[in-house]
Amino acid sequence: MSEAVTHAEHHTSTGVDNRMLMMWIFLASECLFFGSLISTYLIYQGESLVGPLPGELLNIPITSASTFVLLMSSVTMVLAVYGAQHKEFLMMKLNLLATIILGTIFLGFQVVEFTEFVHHGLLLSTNQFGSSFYLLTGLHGTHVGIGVIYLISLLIGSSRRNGLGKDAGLNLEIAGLYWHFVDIVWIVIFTIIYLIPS
Amino acid sequence: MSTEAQTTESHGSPLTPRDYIKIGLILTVITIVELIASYVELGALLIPILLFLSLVKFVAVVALFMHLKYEARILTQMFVMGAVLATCILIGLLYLFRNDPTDALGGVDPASGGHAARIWIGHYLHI
Repeated sequence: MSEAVTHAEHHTSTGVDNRMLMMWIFLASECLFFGSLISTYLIYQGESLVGPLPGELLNIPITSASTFVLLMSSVTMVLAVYGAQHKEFLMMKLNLLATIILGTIFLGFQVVEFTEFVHHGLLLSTNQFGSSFYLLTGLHGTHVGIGVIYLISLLIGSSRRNGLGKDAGLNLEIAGLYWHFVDIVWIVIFTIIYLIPS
Repeated sequence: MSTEAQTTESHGSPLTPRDYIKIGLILTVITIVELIASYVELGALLIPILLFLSLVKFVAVVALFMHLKYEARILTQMFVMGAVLATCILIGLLYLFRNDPTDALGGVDPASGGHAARIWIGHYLHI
């Protein structure tokens, strides 16, 4: 009976593991979430009646550096997944650690940027640019923060005697999906907010 | 399908660590090109070029790093559906506000051109 129940838990008519399917459905819903926020930013673009305005504040070179950091964290994440799937656990742990560090550096860039903007007088309630910018990039940063905590929990879990168990590859792959999604959202945000002139 | 078979299926990517690093380098080069393009005077071509390069990076990460290229088709359908709906929301909202005669967003003089977003999205989508 127990064996039958266990088997039933994993069998799916789609041939895809339920946990993997859940993550992809979640990411599809996240597309709608960020799509709405990006739409709001674009609708408000050029509508601010008082400054500071994007052209006065946005620092493209610095943000390019943080974009590079997040891009590299995707590379280390996929290498961590590769390590877990091929039972190269040292490779997995080192790359997981590198991803956590790179994600934290990205958050550091964001904290510095927000602090600088506040010093220049841009608050959430200052103008439409402030409200839509902080909402969009802040919620993206929150996603990065949650991702860092998620990866730290996996790194701690992998240090236990049994590691991440027999599903280590799958667990890492699901975490990797979340992390890469955060990266692709930033690819879009970077182009729309920073590179395209307002 | 057994758990073992499912696990094997999710390992379907033939890419090696060297491939992943190469892809990372290519994405970095694209980012540098985007950065250079944003400083060069490209006129009306700038936005399509930047959106295209952004799309290339987006697809590369989803297909190769997220292994969607090697996964079951239902996952691709699932994700594409979300991405397409998000794009529809974006276009729909911009269209809605572009055609708002009251300009309820904040008294911008219509003669000044109104929303920058309306201008560039509207220009390229002819809406």
